Amino acid sequence: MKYNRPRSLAQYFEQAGAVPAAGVTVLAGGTDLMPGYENGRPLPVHLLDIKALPELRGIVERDHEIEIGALTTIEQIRANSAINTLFTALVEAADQFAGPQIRHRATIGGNLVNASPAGDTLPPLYAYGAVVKITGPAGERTVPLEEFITGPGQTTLAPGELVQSVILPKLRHRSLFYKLGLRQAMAIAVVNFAITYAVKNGAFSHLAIAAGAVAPKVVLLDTLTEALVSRGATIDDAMHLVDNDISPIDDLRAPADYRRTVLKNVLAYTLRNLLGGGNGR
Amino acid sequence: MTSTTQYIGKPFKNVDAEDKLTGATKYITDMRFDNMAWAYPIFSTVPFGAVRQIDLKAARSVPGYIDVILAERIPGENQVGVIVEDQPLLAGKTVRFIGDVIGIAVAETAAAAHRIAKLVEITYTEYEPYFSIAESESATSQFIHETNIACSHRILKGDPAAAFRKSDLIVEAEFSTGSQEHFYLEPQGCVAFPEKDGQIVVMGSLQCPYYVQKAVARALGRPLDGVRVIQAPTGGAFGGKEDVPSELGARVALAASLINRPVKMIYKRSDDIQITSKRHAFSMRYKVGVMRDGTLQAAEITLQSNAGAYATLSSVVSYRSTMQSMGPYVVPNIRVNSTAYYTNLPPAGAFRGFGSPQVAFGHERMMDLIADRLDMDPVRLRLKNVLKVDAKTITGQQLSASVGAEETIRQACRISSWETNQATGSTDGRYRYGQGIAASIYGNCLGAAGWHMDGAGVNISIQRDGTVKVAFGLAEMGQGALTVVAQMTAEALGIDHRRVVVLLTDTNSVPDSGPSVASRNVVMTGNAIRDAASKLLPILKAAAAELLGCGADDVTIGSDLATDSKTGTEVGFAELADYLYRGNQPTEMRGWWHVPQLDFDPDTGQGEAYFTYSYATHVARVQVDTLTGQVQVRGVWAAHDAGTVINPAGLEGQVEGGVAQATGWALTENILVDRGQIITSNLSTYLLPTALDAPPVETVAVEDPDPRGPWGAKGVGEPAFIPAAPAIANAISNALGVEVYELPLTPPKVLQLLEEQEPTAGMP
Amino acid sequence: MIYLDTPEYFDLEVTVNGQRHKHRVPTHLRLLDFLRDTLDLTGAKETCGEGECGACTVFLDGQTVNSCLVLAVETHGSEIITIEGLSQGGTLSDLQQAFIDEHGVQCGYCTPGIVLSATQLLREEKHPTRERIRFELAGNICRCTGYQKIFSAVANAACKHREV
Repeated sequence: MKYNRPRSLAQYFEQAGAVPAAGVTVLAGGTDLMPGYENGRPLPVHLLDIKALPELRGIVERDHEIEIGALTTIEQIRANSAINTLFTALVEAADQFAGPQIRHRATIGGNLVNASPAGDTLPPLYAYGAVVKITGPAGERTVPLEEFITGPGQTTLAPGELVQSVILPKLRHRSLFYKLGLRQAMAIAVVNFAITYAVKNGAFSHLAIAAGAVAPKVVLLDTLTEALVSRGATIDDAMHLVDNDISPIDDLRAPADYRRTVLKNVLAYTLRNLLGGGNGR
Repeated sequence: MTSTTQYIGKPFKNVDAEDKLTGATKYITDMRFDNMAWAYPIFSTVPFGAVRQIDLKAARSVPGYIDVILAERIPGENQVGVIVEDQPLLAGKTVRFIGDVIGIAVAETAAAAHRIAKLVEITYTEYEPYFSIAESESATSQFIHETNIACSHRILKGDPAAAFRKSDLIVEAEFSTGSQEHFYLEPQGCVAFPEKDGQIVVMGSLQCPYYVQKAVARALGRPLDGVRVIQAPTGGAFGGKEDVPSELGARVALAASLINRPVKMIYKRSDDIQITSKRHAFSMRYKVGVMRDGTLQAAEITLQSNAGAYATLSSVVSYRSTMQSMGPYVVPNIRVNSTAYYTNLPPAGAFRGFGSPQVAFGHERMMDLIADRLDMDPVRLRLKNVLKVDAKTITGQQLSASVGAEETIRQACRISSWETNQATGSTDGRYRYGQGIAASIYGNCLGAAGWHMDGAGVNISIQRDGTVKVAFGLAEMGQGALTVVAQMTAEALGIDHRRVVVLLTDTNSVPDSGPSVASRNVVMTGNAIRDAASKLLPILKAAAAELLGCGADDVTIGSDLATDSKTGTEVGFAELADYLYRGNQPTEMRGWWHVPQLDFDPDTGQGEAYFTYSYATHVARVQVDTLTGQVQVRGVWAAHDAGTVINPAGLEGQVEGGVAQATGWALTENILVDRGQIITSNLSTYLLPTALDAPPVETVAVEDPDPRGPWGAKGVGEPAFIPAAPAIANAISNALGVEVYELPLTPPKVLQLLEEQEPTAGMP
Repeated sequence: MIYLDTPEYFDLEVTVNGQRHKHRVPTHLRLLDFLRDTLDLTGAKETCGEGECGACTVFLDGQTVNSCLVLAVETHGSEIITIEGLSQGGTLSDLQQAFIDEHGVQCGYCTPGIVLSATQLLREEKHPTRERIRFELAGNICRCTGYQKIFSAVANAACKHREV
């Protein structure tokens, strides 16, 4: 296995282009790659460590958006004041992300490219309407996150391309994150979701819900939110609409029915509380 | 208990903590040996079958290949069964579980040995495997061994049938408890090296050095004298390093003797989980007859356990669960039948509690069910039936002393403010809160089934400079054995604890002291220390009398001094030690203690099952999220009668650790198996309690000294685990108002319980 | 351990516990194996090999990481502190002493990792609450102690901060 640590994007493209794309693996935080190798996944011919690429670093705040470099670690997200002010759900997801040692290492770009249906930072990013900035030999392009991830572990990233950053439009709405694991820490989500919302006169004037671990990729519960916001449906009446947007499976963590039930239980409780009902049940 | 002790009963710092805190402690995986090779097991990938062919071509091409050792090269006996001779060291023909070791790959590096093991191509003729107790029980041919029954035990006392007829109420229930992985943080590992004199030395992470010694001698066809076993610092064991290291030890010793080089083997975690022993999963049927006032009259209990592919320690686990199947209660008429079934799963073996936690779940759920049916307070029901001095256990054993069971119930209630708490819910109804209580009994040491090996020794040696070396036959595996041995030696000899150096266990230093199991270290080693001290003290007194010019009877020894009690003149211990040497006096003494002879009839299960018992009661409080089924244990209050407490800090450490492990067994640790393959094969799927899951614990010691224990002490290591899971289960039942019949109670299962209770529960 | 029939090599320069090291290492060597096998710094332990237990925790450029999830080559030019580097000169840190005083050590296998995680916490927060201590130690599994005495040790060490 050849190892390189390019110092610039130009160097990266040069090194990545020098070998057949199938043999190249990109290494960022390594927190997902390394357990795979340890468990027998074949090593690549060429490992390109992108941690030294300056173009992928930093958090930039602009008037209407915030741009988070792909190499930003989960811990850096937790510590960033602009993100703390504007993107509560993302910070809450980062708080519940594995343990300190992993948070020091795992990157937001890695979370995007892994495209795990249960990835903790993904529901907030979906709910915020994040846009993924991609850089490649042919230049830059941007893709809405929803289009970027196409399935479990699948993205539209072409060979040689890298996620450079993720851009979050500044939001005037509040947001929150919920995660259910099978224990209190270091758990992979059995269900997670993020909500952005605004309440006016006891009803939602804005609502977006992204749910994880209930479908091959994170899903926006648009059928439900549309009913609640545009059609004035009650939470009780509308909750069954969640089933239109999710397709959970049985796995070793939990059965599909459990994911379905819990998502609806906690979502209904949370939405009621947001409307100030207090009595979430 | 006595206020005159210098060390006993006082918090005592761990003697081996500093090296562990600086990284200086060398565990087996940290040790290096010149010219060392690495070994790795080659194991079956089918659950049940016959080996047809073994192809080594690909394996031999791995750089660093040294050897692949198969069964036919074992010079001695191909047998490693510790009680029943059913387990080959290397499976030659038949494989009985995924993980059954067929051969040993040997290479220059650990990675190469591992690679070779994976590249050995084995073809099998597969048989229809048995995974569940029911499948095993219903088999009519193609048994796993000669039969599918690994062992059985029984108790018959009084006339249960007549007593049931007289009972006002009969309550019946069926329970099941899951298996559990030890997940000692240090994986299994051993190294063996041939010495020039022909002796084979085995070092390893282990808790029973004499088991390993016997296993190695047997496999190599050598006398015990040809095998020396030294215990390396051991990173947790919990029973998982009781019999399993005999396999590793014999395999590395075999490899080392064949290639004449040191050979080390360390299991990779996922393989450790697949190959090595687990807690027995149990199915239990309880039927209990009771009078209206709560007096237990009769019980009929059927216990079935899943023994896995080999018997290993199943017969003694099954013995213990049978003898303790009704907990710390008086039941005058009882029948118990217990059977362990072979299946094509990894062997079940020893795990902290050793069959007790399973039956504790059974009898403590029963007590709550009965209390509920009688509309009686569950604490009152327990107090009404609890064992006391002069009462008889279900084996008909009259208890003569140190029966603190009742007091543990009272103290657990007191420190938890049991009376003033009740089941409640959060105002919005999402969370429900409840409390549960569970009491338990634990027979100390090996009991009648293991009396023939229930002796242990020490060797105490006073050095010329006044330091005192202690060799003992049991093992430190993290529980604090070295520390209590130092503490008890200092107390017994009346010396400053800093003089005492306790050596890690070495079969060359002390006679076969049996296994380091059954919470027996304090009792066995403590008594052996007192025995040795009783031989050394007269010598010390005589020497002191000469130095002080007084009569030996006037000399008192204590506080690191020998004192003439008449004049008050003193001589320090170091000077005394030197004087012994100058006078050519004996300075080294062996101590030995064995458990008193036990009178027991295995046919009826009547007699002295164990020589004494420890008791414990835990109260647990839980919060249950009715939307998700998530349970959080908010606290555990633990009262333990372990007789006189030797080291209070050590006792608390044992209890807190035991409660955390039991919390995992009760809630999150769920072994999932797919056709014999464990799919929860590492920490991301097998969920141990983290720092946020382990509950806070308050511990109180109920010190009811046992006259046969050293300074009145009994064991606590396993009792720490036993009542916690049933207390948690009872608390969940109390919080939700539903009955609980199985463990573990994972969130999906708890939510299911809620849905069964009210069809709309859990739905918005 | 990760296996390769025909490894490639990399000239690694790294500072470990204040000492510069130059080694030609296989590119697939994990940091954990480099520390343990190449440098004989065996305080970092392997328990799960997949970043779940924290027994292999070390400081990498001032932050705790699981050394089983890092390749040695990734640390080129970096600074690493292991448990062996924490008490140089033979004096225990306040935190290490507190683990002895509070009985926070049993089998010891998780101990180096937990001490390093707690050291990181006390660098960030001189007087953490018990809740914060629990949160920051969630990446370190202990199977013996039930954690309570470990929390007490960290709290005790934090108290000593106050006295200084």
